[in-house]
Amino acid sequence: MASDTPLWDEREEPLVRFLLGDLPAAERATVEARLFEDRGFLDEMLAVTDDLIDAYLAGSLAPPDAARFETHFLAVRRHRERFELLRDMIAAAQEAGREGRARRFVGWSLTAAALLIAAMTATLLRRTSAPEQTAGSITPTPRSAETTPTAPVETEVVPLSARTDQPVEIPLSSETKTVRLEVPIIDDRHPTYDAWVRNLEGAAIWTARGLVPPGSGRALILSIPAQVLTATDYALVVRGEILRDAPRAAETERRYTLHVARTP
Amino acid sequence: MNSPQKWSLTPSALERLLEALASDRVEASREYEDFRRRLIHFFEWRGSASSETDTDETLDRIARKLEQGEVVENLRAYARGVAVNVFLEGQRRQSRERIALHELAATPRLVVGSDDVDLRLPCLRKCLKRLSDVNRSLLVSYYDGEGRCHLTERKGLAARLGMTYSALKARAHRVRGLLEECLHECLDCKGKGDR
Repeated sequence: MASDTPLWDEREEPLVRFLLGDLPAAERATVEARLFEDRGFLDEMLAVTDDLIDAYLAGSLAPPDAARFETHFLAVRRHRERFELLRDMIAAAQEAGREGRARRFVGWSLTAAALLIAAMTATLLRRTSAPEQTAGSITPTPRSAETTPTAPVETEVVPLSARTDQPVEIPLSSETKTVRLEVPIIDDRHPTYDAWVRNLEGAAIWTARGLVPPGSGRALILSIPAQVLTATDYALVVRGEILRDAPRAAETERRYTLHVARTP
Repeated sequence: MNSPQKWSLTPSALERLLEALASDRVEASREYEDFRRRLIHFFEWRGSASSETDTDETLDRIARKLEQGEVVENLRAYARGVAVNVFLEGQRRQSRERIALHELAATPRLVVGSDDVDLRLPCLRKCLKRLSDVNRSLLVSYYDGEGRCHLTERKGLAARLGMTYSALKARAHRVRGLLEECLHECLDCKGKGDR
């Protein structure tokens, strides 16, 4: 968690401490006075509020601040509402980013394929017209797949089975940033899946829509920020999309119980 | 003594309050809304469970004092004083209703209806597409990356865009505002269409 880069600049730091309920009374009064007397202050504070939520969701807050965030900041109803909204906003933006990258990758692949075909055609033509040049023939380099090195560190990988009658144990340490659930796909007939995690009160604390299964026999990957999970039970629902004219699948939905336990 | 006589806001008291906020009527209405919004935040930051009720109580008390002829030189500073009193009184009243901190952490409650939650992501996707290319690209890049590295990436993004990190954050805040406006419109439309 240690880093040389401070999360907040000197202007933001007292505002963050204020929001976390960690500011001495005199400084707190100064912040409150600014709310009434400084016209631009409320917007500044709301921006810092969003950044604080963002930092929490990204797992960037130091553990004591993350604890204060949960106990003090989230105790305010509107903060919880903002938290929910921002979490979805970030998820939508990240999803758009992934889609953009996928489109660029497809575009790049098509271009690469076209260049490869052109190169091979040119080689072939040269071979046909000048067979003596075969010694120096071009060997096309295999297209390298976009390798994104994945660091399993800070990611708790939990493979799930098709059985849903046993709770799924998820141990979380303070270092865990992401819980990666590997869910066996329900049926090849579902083009996409929706998944959501609900807390004991039935409120959705995490959702993902339109997840494309990675291929027959491979698990559906759900990456859940560890910070949205606390040590308690949750319900995970994974539901396959049903096409209007497709034959009914025997099973379209699975419900798991997730048992989250914090480890030191 | 514990339950002061209930006083209701009268038209003339409201008139005095508006006059104290601005001489122009339209401007005064705007000021009133802004003032109210700030008061709500004040109570929320203090942890009030009834920020809107507390705000209305504060505004009522100020209006009453003005109607009674009290001269207030700095309305905003005065309002803050009244708000502190309202909060402390409310806190005494509500102390037993305070929820244990651990309970809050374990069960963050959703206040929005489940329908809204279900509609929100599709609406957000739609609204992201409606943003200008520049704004969408900025927001997507802003939220790219995970963990602490996203901070370094954002600083890199700010440098690439030729702005300071603070300016980038302010810009992202404005784009979030646009996205939120569109989201509310979208949820309203869906709500009206479905119900």
